[in-house]
Amino acid sequence: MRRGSPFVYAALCGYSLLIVFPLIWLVYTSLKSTPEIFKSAWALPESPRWENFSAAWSGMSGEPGLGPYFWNSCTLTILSVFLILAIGAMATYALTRFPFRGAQFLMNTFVSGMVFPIFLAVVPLFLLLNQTRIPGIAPKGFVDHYAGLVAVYVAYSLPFTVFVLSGFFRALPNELSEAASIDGAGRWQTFARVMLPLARPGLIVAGVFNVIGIWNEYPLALVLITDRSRYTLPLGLAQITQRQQYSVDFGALFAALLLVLLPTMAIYLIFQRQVSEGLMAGAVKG
Amino acid sequence: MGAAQRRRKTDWGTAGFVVGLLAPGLLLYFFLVLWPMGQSFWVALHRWRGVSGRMTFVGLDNFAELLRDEKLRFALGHNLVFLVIVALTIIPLALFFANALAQRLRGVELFRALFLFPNVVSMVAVSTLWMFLYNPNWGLVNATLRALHLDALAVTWLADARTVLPAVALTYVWYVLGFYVLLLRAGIQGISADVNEAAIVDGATERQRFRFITLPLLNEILRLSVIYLVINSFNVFALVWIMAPPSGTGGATEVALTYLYQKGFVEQQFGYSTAIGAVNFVLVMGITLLLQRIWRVE
Repeated sequence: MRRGSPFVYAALCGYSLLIVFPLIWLVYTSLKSTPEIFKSAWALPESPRWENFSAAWSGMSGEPGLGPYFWNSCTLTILSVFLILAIGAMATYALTRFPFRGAQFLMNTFVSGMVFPIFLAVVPLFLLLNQTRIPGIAPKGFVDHYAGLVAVYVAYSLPFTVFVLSGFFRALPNELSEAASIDGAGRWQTFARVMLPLARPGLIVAGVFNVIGIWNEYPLALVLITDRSRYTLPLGLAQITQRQQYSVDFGALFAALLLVLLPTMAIYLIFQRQVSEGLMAGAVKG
Repeated sequence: MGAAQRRRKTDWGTAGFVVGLLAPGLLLYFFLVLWPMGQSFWVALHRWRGVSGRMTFVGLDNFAELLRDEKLRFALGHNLVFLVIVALTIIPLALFFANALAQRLRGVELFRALFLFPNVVSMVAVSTLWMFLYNPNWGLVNATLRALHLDALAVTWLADARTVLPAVALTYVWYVLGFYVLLLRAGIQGISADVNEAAIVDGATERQRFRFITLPLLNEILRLSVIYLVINSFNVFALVWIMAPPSGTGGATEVALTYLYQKGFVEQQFGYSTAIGAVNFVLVMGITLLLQRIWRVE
């Protein structure tokens, strides 16, 4: 390790401060009362107002809180990422380990999805989900229906997921699956018990990346969810922010923003390496 | 290919297995990604108002109307301004920081992790945070300016038509800079150490090495970065929609996608809205192809 020039260090520290200080400010402002916030942007809270957080979670002055949206987002994210990994791994396994005619074409078709802008498809997608009706499951169509949003999330996450996983599946040795089949394991067993565990590092990169992506997703949810009770966290936060501009409790609003940020912060702290890997993988293809 | 693999007899068991593995992914991808993408070009050729409205084929009428649509021209102009601000800020900053973070400096891991952090935050949260920071009365930006006795600069950032677009663009810089630092750093670290050592032996200064070795070898990644910035600037939506919705800025923040959203999901003019998406897509593709032609990479 060597020391850089003081100028370089000053610049690095300066920019880091620009990233970190707004977050520190957010943390201590979330513990202030609204009059305190109005009085001085810099001052620390006189005494921490923890009730800001309960107001943010369970609602303030007749407004809904973030609590229900938080659980909605949890359900959607867990369900979607589980399906993305399962379906993505299955497709990638087929395309990389069984070199049938057309496999490369299908792989390219999947991966090319990484460059399509979502907004090009958003109107037809909305109309498609709105008009697809299945009696018993979705009599009014798949808008405002989590099955619809989950399916859309899975479909739009497949290009990246297949791309990332293909690198890992290609690197797996042939001998292991052969050994497994000699030992009498069926095809599905070989896939699930032998090959999937070996591709675990890839599944973690894809999983972390998709969890963050879906937890944060806004435009598709905005278009496909109109019923307030089904809002995701980003939709809920956006709505509360836009309404609260004319309202009173800014302390609670800061607390709400912090609550939204905390899970991603935690994931980033644990999986920082996988996040950079995922970002790089997505970038270099493009 | 071995003789065993060239056997004509089809292995139906394996074929069924492969189809089973592929079916769910392919079906979802086809029906929810490829089909709507392709359909959008067809929908754009129709007049279609209201969810239950009838689709009337109007040929290229929507596109003809878009050519005359002053609002779309303004919107695309705002996308362009956004792109210029963002590119002129990000490229030099990212080059500088990538060069610094590519070295084995003390504390470099911490800086790398910090710089990338904003990129994992949801766009909605970033927008909300910066709305607070830009608040004219109690936001940190103006508090800092006042503390520095620069009261004249403490303006209403998001309410003033002259400052709102740069203010939103700088928020995007905050969000995304770490990604470009990562991209360029990977490029710099890919440059072989031999080249640099040879240059040091020849007495090249650090600045000369950056100018004559690093920059030329980064050419391809720089071009890729600019292409990304073009794509993302013309597809900016959440940031603008939350921080400064065009309805509140007298249209000063109307961009292509807020206009598309307005036409499609507020006014329910589905054909027209889809045509905006198609125009935006073709425009971005055009710029990308142009960049690839005029910006040569050996």
